[in-house]
Amino acid sequence: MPTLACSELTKRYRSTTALDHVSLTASTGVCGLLGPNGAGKTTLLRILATTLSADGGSASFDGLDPADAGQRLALRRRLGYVPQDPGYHPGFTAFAYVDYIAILKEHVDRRRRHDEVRRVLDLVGLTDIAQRKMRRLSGGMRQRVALAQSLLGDPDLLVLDEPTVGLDPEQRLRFRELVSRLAADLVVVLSTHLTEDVEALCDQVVVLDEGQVRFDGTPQALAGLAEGRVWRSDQPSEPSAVSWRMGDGSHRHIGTPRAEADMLTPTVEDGYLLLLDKRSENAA
Amino acid sequence: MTWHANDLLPAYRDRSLDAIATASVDAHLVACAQCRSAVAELDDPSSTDALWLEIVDDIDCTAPTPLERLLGRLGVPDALGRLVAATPGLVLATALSAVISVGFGLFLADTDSSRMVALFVALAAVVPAVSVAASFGAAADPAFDVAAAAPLSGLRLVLVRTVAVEVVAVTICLIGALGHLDHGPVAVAWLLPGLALAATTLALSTWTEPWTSVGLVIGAWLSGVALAGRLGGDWLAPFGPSTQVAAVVVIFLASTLAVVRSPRLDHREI
Repeated sequence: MPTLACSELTKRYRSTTALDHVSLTASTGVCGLLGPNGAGKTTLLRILATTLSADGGSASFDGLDPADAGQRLALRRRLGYVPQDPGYHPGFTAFAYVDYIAILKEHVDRRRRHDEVRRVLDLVGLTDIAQRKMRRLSGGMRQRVALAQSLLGDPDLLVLDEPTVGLDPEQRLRFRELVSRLAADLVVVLSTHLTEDVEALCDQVVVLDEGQVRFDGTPQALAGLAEGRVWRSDQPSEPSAVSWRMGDGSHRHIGTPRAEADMLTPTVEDGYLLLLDKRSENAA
Repeated sequence: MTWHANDLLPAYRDRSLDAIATASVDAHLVACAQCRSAVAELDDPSSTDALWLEIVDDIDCTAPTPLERLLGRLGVPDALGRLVAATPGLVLATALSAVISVGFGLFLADTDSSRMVALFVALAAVVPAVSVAASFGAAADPAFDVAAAAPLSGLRLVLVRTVAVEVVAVTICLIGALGHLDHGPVAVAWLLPGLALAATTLALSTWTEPWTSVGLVIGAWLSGVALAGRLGGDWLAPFGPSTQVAAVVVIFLASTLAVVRSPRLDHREI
């Protein structure tokens, strides 16, 4: 079973430390990276996708080290990658764009390459718009084209940087269906801002903050961090770290509850907010 | 119906009949159910499937761009043609070489001015370097982030694209230069310096952005040529044998440096 492993990864941009001794291991299934903007998620994913070198530490997939030129090439042949901003050729059709990436992925034989392009476009449900120009596609459709190119050649490692941005709820559902189906046989690492994605998809969740791993475990364990710390009240002004008004007019609070508080079952979002909100440290 | 096309049907199925016989069988099949049945029995289902796949493939494939068609006629495989077409900057390099070649062809036809010939040679030498800069980097490929993680990336991709476009650009400039052989070998004296500038651009691009590199290289080259021409009093002197020998040395050294530092091209941080 192929395994992705990072050990003490460090990356600096001038005076800013983007990754600070990050270590994690992921195997078959979906590993979700959660974290605020600037937490280092994209930097980590770029290193895993072999487009950025680390300043320190090591990363490997199935024993292949991206720092070594020969092993990097072997790793790229087993990799699918959707960057945060995939970019596209406005004059290309969806078919031509994926065909172009297929050429970069060394699919040389024209007929087989075209068959493969049709296969991946079908996987993401875009067969009908294969001949539409990229500039005429909606953001969600472009995102699906980007996902299609990442599936060329049946990769063993799929690295997805915020793949659900721009997708409407139905498209997000289809994306989850597809990724969960694929994840039975490969390692998927994705970053997201959406805790619902993590709850719905991930076997493992890693929370990054200021370049450091703040949490590494199951989504249930992340939600468990807020066990006994989430309650409902009619009062907006409770001594909580985080609180917001819900649709029924009551307030959901996360922090240290009063003794008689109406306790709620915590979600991944509760655990995540409690973990990252600095005020919770004071409230605890 | 008094006759049947049985003897012609195998050749009809194989599309080996001439046009007149094919039209005759076509017309006959419209009226003869027995022959239609016979030709259907002759037909190999796998060949029908293959034909259908060909049709589907033709429908799926976007028509090649003019540049892809040109490269195809020159024998460049379709995959390579697509790579070149997917790099908008390469069209710029090709257009630049055509402008220099044709523009100066018209300009030099009626002049013996060594200053104008020197200007042509100096500018023609710039084309290969511009082609290198246009061959890679985020500015050259909108899908650069995706491409950077593909097996065909980094130095390999730069070389594939650069060689393809250099062949086109240098060929266009050479064709333009052939019209000026009356000016002597200086008409092609840009070739080695041009390749030296291209190799230097490639090597410098392992430190900085490709367009910054080419700007530095072109600036240094044109300043050097202008200075040498003005100081020496002979505008064609900078393209003499000593420059050609120096160009060969620079090509070797810069190419070696680019290969040694090629891992930097493999990552985004250039």
